[in-house]
Amino acid sequence: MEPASDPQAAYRAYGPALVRKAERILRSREDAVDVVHALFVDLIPRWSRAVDLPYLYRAVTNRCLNVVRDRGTRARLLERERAAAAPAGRVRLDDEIVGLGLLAALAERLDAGHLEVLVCRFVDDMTQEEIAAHLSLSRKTIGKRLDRIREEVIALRGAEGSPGGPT
Amino acid sequence: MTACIGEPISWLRLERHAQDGGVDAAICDHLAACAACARCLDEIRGDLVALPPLPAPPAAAPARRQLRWWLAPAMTCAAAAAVALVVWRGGAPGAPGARELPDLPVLPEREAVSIKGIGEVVLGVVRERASTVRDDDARTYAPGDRWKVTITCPPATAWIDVTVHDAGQIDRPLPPARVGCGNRVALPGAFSLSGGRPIRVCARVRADVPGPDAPAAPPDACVTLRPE
Repeated sequence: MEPASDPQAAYRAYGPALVRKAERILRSREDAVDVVHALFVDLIPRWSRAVDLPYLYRAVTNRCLNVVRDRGTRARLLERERAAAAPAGRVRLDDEIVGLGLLAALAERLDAGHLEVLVCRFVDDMTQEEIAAHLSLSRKTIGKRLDRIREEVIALRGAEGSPGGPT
Repeated sequence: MTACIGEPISWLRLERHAQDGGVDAAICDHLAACAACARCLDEIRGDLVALPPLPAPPAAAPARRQLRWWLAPAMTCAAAAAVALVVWRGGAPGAPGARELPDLPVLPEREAVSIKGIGEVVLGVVRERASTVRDDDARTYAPGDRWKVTITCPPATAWIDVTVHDAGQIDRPLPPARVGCGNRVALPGAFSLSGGRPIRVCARVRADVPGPDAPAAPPDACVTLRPE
């Protein structure tokens, strides 16, 4: 697939795919459209021919994670997620589909690098090799980050189960 | 959803596969055997995304300065030509552009209507042709195009019934739906058009599902789509 020659062409070609991706994270089509539109508006003045779908995928991941980290927006999205249909979830984290609630909880515990791997693996359904190529990291690093993610999920579940932990 | 038979094809690979026209043999083999991943690809192919238009990129400043000396008279000439074209087309009764949809019922051509209990509701359509999605200015149709209807309204819940008016016949290609208002909210479902005549797509909007004692119908918001 050739990189698009200008932002308008890229928006037409990749916009729908990026909206679907953002919607899988945010569980809201409207917010997903806003994220993708804002991304392209920002890209217009600094467009490069190197921009392709994988690059835009990463940019959308980062922007969606910023939305999830914003507590005000997160509360609204979580409220909406309850009414939305359950995601498909082909790849599960310890038998659990990574939805907005778990992502939001992990956003409090993990840094951006780990969260990006989390989204690649459990939302975008990438293999470890694919994530390594996508993020230009070694397979070993991806494995370590996934281990850390699992540890945090176990700790999170433990905290939820403990009497003084969050409910 | 059934589980993947092995390692799932990532959404990114599925998206590229859908755009490339399915040339990757390994993906094709997996999809032939895996219902879960095949369903994900169907989801991609069946999805229609309404994207708001992007702003035009700013012109380069030096070029603008160089062109400025002739830009003003050129714009004046273009404006005069546009006015002359409008006058000419409006004044020639036999010209195709002056013909007014004789085979359509007389309905108000308003894309925005004000509905009690909701506020202003704006109707939009989105056209998908050969995997290219176009919204806002798409007002012509051809066989094979797929159309979705979008609604923009202030925060509320709206009940929407879409009708398609073609030569006196009224079809309902989409089931009446209750939607949460927002910016260009796409109604569930899509439809195609045929017939070679101008077709009017209308939406009747109410704050709630109309009961038997519902008051008189509010005005419809409509757009006209013409054949190419």
